[in-house]
Amino acid sequence: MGATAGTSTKKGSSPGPSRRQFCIAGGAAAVLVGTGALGHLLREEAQAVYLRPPGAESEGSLLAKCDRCQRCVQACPYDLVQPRPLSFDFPTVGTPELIYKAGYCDFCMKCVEVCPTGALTLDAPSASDIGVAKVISDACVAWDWGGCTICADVCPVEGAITLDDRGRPHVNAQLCDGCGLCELECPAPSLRAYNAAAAEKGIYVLNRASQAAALPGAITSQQYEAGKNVRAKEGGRHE
Amino acid sequence: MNKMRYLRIGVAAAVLVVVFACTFAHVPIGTLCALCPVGFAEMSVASGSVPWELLPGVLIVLGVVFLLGRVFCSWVCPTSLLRNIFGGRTPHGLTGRTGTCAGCKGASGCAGAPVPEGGSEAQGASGGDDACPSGATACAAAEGAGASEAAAAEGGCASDPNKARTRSSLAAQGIVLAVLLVVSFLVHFPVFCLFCPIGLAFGTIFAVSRMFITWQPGWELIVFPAMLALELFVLRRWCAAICPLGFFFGLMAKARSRIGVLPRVRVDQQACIHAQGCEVCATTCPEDICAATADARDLEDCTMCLDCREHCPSRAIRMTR
Repeated sequence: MGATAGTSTKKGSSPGPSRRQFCIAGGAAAVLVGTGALGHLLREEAQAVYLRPPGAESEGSLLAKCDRCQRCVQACPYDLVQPRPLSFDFPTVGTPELIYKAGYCDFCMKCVEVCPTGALTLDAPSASDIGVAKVISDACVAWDWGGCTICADVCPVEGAITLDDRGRPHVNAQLCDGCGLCELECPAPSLRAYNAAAAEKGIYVLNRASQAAALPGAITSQQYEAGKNVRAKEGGRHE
Repeated sequence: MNKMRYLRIGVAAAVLVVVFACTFAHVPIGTLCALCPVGFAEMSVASGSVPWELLPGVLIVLGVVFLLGRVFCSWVCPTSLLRNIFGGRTPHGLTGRTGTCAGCKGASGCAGAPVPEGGSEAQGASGGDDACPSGATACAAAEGAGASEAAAAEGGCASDPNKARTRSSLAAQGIVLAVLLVVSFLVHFPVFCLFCPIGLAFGTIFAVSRMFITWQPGWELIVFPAMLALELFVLRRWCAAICPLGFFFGLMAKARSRIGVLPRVRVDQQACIHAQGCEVCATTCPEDICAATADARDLEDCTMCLDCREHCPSRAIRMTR
């Protein structure tokens, strides 16, 4: 190709680029098409939902609008907003999700305010309702022995977590706004012996559209792991 | 030695460090992704709504490139930062010789690399542009006299390094851009962002900052740097043939070369010793441009790294109108 390509100048002002560059560009284009198709199939297959920062309209809209500029990550005063790690659902890598490891959400809306693309907006229903807390029955200390009331004590929403007559916590899904204070404060990991089969905390905040959130009442660690990031068939109140 | 390269490394590293520091200081300046013209177009087609808030930043970047040339590529882009530090296509290590000249490296360079013949056309199109008329004479003189031994050894190819250099290809970059927009439109997520070396560099930084919060290292800590290395050091023509950002910058470069009053590389032909066989500007240039003989089209690929100006033994290179 080398010898002949020299004469393959197109008419007009732009000189013909080398065929090699076209091959590279064509290869890159093929990779893009393949990645797009694979990502689309995996997303269809996974039907994934994640706990997103307040103001995300839906999984699909967030993924299409987010430019991964990480401003929400930088804006969050409590380090809750973190970029999603690489997973099988790879198109979501770098998009924001909430992790209640260093704090809880007080709905300061700084992440929404700095979002330049409209991926997070104050108009979305999730702006005042991030998700819903779920008690993990085999990890919660009160569920086994009673005595622990921390999640109900710290919950900032009146009536969102109530204790039954045996002292076990129950979440009122209508009132809970998913702020994550219960998950942050849950002392289960320090009160229980380590058990790889059980969830670490006794209560977790989940996306309302997830399968685990759609189950009634407290759930098991198994149900939590299997359904926390999978969309429920009928769907929740909103994503 | 290599003052300009250290300066470029400093500037590009400072951008990454500032973004990293702002993550811990909770200052929401965001990454360069918020300024990306490709990202802007990608979000628009993927979501079906135009993110107007991004437009001012995008226009500022394009405006800077219009006024100063492709300064983004050599001074800010993490791609050239990594190449400047670790070597790569042309820069050999941090302190080593700055480059090899596509045109003067053996006969394979001449025969292997297809030679676009559009140089003269581009020169014609640019009208009164006087980038190289005397340069051309110098080339002819060098060829005629056989002054350069290298030229004789390498089949006369070395006399004009620009003839054999691989120009960045607007058409190839345009193909990539068109395909990535169509795919993003169909699958409703920005597909190129998954590969973009700039995004991968920032992704690695944020994977590290995330690890400090969750204490659960993710696969991206390995995968992102590996992809970066593959793109930069194996796919050596990434910038010239793939980078869709380069498509926008190439358009700006074309526009500014038409206007012709904006600063760019100028060679004082009285002082230039190219006719005596000097090819320092071409060997130092990361784009393989031989400033002494470059026409307007060659200079469109110039990233204003200023290496040629620094290394020119006769101080013949100026950045002027």
